[in-house]
Amino acid sequence: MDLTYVVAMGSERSLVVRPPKLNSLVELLTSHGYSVVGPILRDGVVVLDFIEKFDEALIGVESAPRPGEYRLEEHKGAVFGGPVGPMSMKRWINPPNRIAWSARPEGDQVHVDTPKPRGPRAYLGIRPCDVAARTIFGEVWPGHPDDLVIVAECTSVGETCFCSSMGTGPAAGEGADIVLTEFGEGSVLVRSRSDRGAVLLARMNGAAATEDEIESARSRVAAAAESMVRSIDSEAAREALASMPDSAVWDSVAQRCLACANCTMVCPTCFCTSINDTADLDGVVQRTIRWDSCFTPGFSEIHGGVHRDSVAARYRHWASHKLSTWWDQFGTAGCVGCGRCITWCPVGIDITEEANRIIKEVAHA
Amino acid sequence: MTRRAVSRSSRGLRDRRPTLAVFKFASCDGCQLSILDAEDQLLAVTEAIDIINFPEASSRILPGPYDIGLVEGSVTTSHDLERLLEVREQCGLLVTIGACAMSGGIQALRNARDVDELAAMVYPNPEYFDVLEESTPASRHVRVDVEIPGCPVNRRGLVDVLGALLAGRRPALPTHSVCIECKIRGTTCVMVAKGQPCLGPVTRAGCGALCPSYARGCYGCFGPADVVNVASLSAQFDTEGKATIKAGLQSFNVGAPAFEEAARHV
Repeated sequence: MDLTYVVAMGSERSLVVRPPKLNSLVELLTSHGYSVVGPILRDGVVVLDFIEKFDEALIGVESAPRPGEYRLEEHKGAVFGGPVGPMSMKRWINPPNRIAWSARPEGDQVHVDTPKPRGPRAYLGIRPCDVAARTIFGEVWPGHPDDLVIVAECTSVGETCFCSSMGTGPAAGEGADIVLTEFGEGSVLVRSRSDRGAVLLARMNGAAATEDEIESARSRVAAAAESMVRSIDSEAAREALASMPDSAVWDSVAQRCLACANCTMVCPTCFCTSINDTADLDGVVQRTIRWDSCFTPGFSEIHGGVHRDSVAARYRHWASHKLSTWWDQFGTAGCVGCGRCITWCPVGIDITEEANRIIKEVAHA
Repeated sequence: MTRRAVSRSSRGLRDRRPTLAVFKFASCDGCQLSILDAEDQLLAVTEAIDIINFPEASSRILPGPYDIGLVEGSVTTSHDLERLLEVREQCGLLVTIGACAMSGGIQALRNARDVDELAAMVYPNPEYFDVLEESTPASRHVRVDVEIPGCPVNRRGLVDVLGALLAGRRPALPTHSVCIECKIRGTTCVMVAKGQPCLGPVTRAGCGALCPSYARGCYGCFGPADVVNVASLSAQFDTEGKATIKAGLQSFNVGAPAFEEAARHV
């Protein structure tokens, strides 16, 4: 099957493939010069990694995230691993510990090495919240202009998801080239969303999608949105969090917060890094850029001391930045509602619960 | 004390090949072995530094003074204490290596017990046994310039400190939690994904998140991180899990005040 089997839907093209044919998509992307990053199952967790073929171990299982807990569950019809696992595209856009440059003595000279620029990448099976996060993260760490994004809409949601209220999912928004939607029992609807996506789709094998199939996929995404249990009133949070620096909520969170930084590490928009210079015994010096976190005292150490010197102050800073001051800085919220900070917090601190407590405090004030 | 060392060595030690000595106190030798274990960097170390007193590695032992002294082990006898004071006198920079020298080691378990009672349990003739009441870190008795944590120390950390002292830069010894190292490595969180007790959130990084990368919980061998909230961490576990957390707190770094205090409330 080729181009003749693809039906045009307005500016979109769409077709239906069964999971094994997703391999042909990966091969197609590879043959077009993309290195492909997509979901795989590792250590009982859905993670992202470079893939050469679609990981069939994902078929029929999905992430079941809960506050402070992640398990894998069987789920008929699941293809892309369900709700998000711990990793997002930020790991590939701004790797966690990367060399900025290194230098070594050469006679009287100093030789400086910088990493080679990478080629274009295709991100496959990325959830809509993470596609939104890529745009937000890109304000600080832009990705490669030729990178391709293939989003997988969510047809089931996790307990910690709240993308609906943040306006980023579970349906695909802006920023994707191709949209995939799981429907039926292991079928995937494939639609193009950009010219580059349409060119690739024209070379994919699959059956033309029927109106019924497209409707079935759409209704599953709509049902997923309905089933979401967590939410934040984004507008109210923006106002409330900035106005309550002395709320008792911050102190009560600090009682439980480990200041371990897991929330910021898994957050797809947290962009903070530290720059470390090292020199080895041979005189080779290296500058690395490493993920860092506003939860460590060292990160807020400036001349004269640590300016956020309590865990309460650090949590307040982080939550307020995500939901309130990010708007002032970048014109959007810094939170996409992926729920990772709730899931991967070892003690299950829930940003929706804490933000809603603050909103309620303001309303009753 | 680290801060002062940085200013002392800010010119670096590059003007000549500095000398180094290794001193052992109450310890298992594991940290000294980490020096020898740094195989890839060992040649670079010996080219940059003249190791003139390291009985575990060489019978060539030259007298002090030394530019750098590495101290392994805790102070457990009055003889240890006298020797540590002498070592401090002989060394320009004094660097402790490992949990014993930094917080008293696993032998500090006896600090909360009656030493005479313990000696009677172990030795047939305890009257010949002379020991101090407590196993203590070097910093309790002398000024220490850099403390390298771990049981044993991480050899990359150790070589980095030597490189830092030579270059006159600040050593890259993290004080944040092990969790950051897990996430940087891409290691799955054993606590969230498997429900395993893990001391990672309260333990200082530097090991490269070794144990979680082998799918087991951290047992705290690098000692307390800069923030320690054990009450919240242990509340996540049942009785058995709490016992595991407590055992971790009461092992190699039982003498570290933050762990010692926390263990009382688990």
